Amino acid sequence: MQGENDFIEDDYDDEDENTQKDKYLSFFIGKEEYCVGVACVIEVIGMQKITHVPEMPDFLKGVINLRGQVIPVTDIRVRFGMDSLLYNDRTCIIVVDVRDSHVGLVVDSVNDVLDIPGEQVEAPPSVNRHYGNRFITGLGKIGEDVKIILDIQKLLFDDEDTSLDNR
Amino acid sequence: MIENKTIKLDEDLLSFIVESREILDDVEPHLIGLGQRLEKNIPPDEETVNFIFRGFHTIKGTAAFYHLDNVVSVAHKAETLLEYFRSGKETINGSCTDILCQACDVMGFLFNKIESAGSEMDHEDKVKSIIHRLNGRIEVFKKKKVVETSSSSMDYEGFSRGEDRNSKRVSESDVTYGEIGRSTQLFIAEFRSLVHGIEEICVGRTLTGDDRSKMKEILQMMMDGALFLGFDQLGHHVDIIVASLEKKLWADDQQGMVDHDDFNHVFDDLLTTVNRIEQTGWDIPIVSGHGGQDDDPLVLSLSENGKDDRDATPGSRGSWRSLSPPMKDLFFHEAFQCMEHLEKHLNFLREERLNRTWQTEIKNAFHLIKGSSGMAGHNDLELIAHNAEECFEAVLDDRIILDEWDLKALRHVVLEMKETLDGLKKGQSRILFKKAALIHMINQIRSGLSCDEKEDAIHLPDISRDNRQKGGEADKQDGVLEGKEDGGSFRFPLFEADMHSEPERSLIKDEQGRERGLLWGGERRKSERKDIRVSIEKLDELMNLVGELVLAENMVSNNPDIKDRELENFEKARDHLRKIIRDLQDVALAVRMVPISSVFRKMIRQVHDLSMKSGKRVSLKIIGEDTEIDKTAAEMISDPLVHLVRNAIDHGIQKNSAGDDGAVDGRIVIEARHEGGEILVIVRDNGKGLDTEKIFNKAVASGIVKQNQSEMSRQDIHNLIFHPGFSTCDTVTPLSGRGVGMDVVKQNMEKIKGQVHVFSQPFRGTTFVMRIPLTLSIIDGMLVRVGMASYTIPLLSIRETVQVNEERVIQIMDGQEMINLRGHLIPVIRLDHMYGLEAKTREMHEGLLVVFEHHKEMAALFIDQIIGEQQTVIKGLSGYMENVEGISGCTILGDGEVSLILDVAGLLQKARFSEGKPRSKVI
Repeated sequence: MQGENDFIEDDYDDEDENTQKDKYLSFFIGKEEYCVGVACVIEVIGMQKITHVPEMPDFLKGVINLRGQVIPVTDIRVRFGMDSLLYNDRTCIIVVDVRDSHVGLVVDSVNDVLDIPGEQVEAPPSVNRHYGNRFITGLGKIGEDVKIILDIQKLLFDDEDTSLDNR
Repeated sequence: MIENKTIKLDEDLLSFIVESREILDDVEPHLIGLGQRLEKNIPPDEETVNFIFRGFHTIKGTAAFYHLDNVVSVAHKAETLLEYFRSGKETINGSCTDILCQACDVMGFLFNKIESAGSEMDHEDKVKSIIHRLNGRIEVFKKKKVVETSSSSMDYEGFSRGEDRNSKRVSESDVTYGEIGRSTQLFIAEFRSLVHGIEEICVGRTLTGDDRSKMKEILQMMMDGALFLGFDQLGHHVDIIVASLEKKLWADDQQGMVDHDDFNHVFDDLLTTVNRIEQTGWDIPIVSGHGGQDDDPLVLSLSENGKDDRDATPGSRGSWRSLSPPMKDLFFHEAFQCMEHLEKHLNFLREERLNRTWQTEIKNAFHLIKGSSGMAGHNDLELIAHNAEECFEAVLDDRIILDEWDLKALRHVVLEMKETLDGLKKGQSRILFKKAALIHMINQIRSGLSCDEKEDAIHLPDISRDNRQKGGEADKQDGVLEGKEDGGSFRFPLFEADMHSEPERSLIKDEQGRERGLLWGGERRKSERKDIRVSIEKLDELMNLVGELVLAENMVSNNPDIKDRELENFEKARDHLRKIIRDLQDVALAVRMVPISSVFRKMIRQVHDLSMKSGKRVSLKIIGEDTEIDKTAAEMISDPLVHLVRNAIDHGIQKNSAGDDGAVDGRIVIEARHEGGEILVIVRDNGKGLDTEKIFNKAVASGIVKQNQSEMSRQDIHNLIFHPGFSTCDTVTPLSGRGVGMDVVKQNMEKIKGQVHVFSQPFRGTTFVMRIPLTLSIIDGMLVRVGMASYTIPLLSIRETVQVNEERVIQIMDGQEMINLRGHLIPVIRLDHMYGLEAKTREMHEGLLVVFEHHKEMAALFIDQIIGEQQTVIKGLSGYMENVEGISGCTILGDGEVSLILDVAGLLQKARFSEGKPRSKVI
């Protein structure tokens, strides 16, 4: 009995792992649709009151209280060097887990969870080194649409030439 | 014997390791204290030696239980070495204490390995080398003793008696436990054949030179084998035989012949011991009968005295040896019960000295022990118990009144008796070496002198006079004692060591801050300790939960739903809840607090080792070791302390040349105390102080500073030493000079939100002050609003809150505002300026000024409004964000909003920095 249960449990876990593979959460910044791997997403929450923290780079909007846990929030628009929009009721915070710390990403709106198989993902374009390019791991094709897959690690930790200096 | 095995790490073993480490930490300062006393030619006090001995013994016992062979063998050797001092036959010298310290180190190392690798193997070389060194010492003493023994044994009887005596003293349980291994079996077989070999050589023959050397060789083999397998007892026997043979048979002028009886006489004991090993795996000698077994004249005479007693009640006596095992068990059972009783009631008596019930109980217990040990033939115990009983009889008759000293003495007597019983149970025939002293102590009690008199009496060189003071109470025993004393052969080892050195002890105590007396303190502390071990994770979890609870309470109390409502009952309940939570929080905090002594005590060893290495004489004084400090903080200051002490000795304190009378001994003072919401840990030395010039020049050379020297205060320059990699040393010594130390100090302090400051005067010394916040997680805070944001200011640093109007404000050229507050000019900090925020209020009179102070420096923070005061659980800003100057963390408010906590020190720093050159805001 016990063993059987364990088995099922294990099976379920495997299934879980598998379901997370190739799955991406897509969201909009402006008109573009971007994706992040589902594996690193903790949850999606609505906009909250952000407490501003002084002396931080512009894209770091401040901190929010997520059920007793204080987490920093990054505005992806600002990170990409775009103009910040006024937050509205479609604005969301995607809470991701990167290097064992939780960080919130402010996005215009969250769209869907997509299935993009590995073979449908192409390397990012090497030409036109647009500023935001270095955060891209690849381009995922779903039918005619192209989704931009982001590298969360780089997005949050890559400081080699920050937005501040580049602007 | 040693096989490679991994040890399963279970809870028990881990707690044993922790405990052992504690013991080692405890033992070490004592060892060093001992060494220091010896340097000053103060005889070691017995209790300290015993304390150390007990430490090693405890470790050994438990380690054997877990089959930690290496630990056992090191502890065993250390114990053997100590045994020589304990029995008072040898004096400790500095090198011995050093070796013992190293033994501590090796054991500590082994424990680390067991913890990390699960095995104490693979470090044989380390173990071997320390055992070798210990052995070296032991050998020296052994040789010495052999000489003594042989010189005293003038005839054959003397020889055998000497052997007997030795056999008693050295007996200790052995490294090999339980059933005997194959190597032991082989050894036994070989040993027997060797004995036969000797028999063949010497019995009935005139010995030639060849024979002698052959015998010597064989005996040497026996001894080596015995020692190799850890049968010290056996080795000793052989050793003694060699010595006396040398004396008797191998003297050049004697062509002695050995007859069979003689031979048996010599080797019987050896074979008995070997048989014993075969049966039990131990080489504990058989306890021989009691009277006259010891050639110490006093003990002998006392035993004789015991015999007198025995004659009075013939027939009821047995001898220990002839007692059957069940009887022995019974005896032990009863005796230990009595001991427990005694200890308990003596403790009670400490509180109510005049309580008849306890007094009677104690008397009865002594009586019981007297009876049963008499039955069992243990005359020493009987005698002591008898004396103690009579003493309590006197107490019950109101002839004497017990005072503090008496109780201590009685405690000691009981402890001593218990130890003897312990030894006896383990099969050792531990003689009460201190018997005479104990009886003397009891008699002191019976003399009914006052405390001071008693101690004075001990100092009197003519002890018999003080005996006479006992007057009519002197009974048979006293008579015997007196007779012996007059004969001049009487010594009070216990009191000579303890009382004579009393002034010295207080001196050392003072120097090392060991406020707990060594004599009685060790045991008492143990008996009163009632604690459990809790993992630090659990404590952290508790702390977190309490933090959350505080938050939750805030959320409930300040819930918007109940705002502006009159809820009388609710408020009552809330206040009650608040109080409980506050208490809970205090308890949770207290749980994490540990006395700083554990950290400070490590420094004793540090200073000792370093002063040895550097050849500088340094004394260490510890003040306030009972100060409690958060466990994490305690761990964090350990390293900085090491560095500070090391620096003080290496750089600060000067070498004092022998001829230079003016040179003062190096002194280091380590102090801890509470101040406000902080704990100060101060390290002070009387060295040459910091060299301001040199530091500045070096700093300029390495590009750390670009200013002129005149622009920097001496204080600023001194603070440069905390710069990473900064060192004025041109050469790197083995102790220091790489410029890491000070950086570590600073780093660690920052981690626990503490600070470190240095104050130095040339040729007067240097003082390092580490300020550590009392708690790391919850503070009282004042919530204020600046512009749109709310900030929390630690309440402890707020001096006052004032509202001023423009007239009191002075504008300095660069726009810096100052206010004049009762004659003090205080700079005003505007957060909105500093952080480039938009503030609602611009005019001074529209807002408030919060005046805060940090290290005697004041500043006023301009705020819009005070929101309230509340318990604040500090949460770190996410590691993702870098540290913001002026902000120490954040907290969650009752309404769920996040509020930043202002770091007063950081604000001041930042304000100071922007003074004179207003910075353009980056953002």
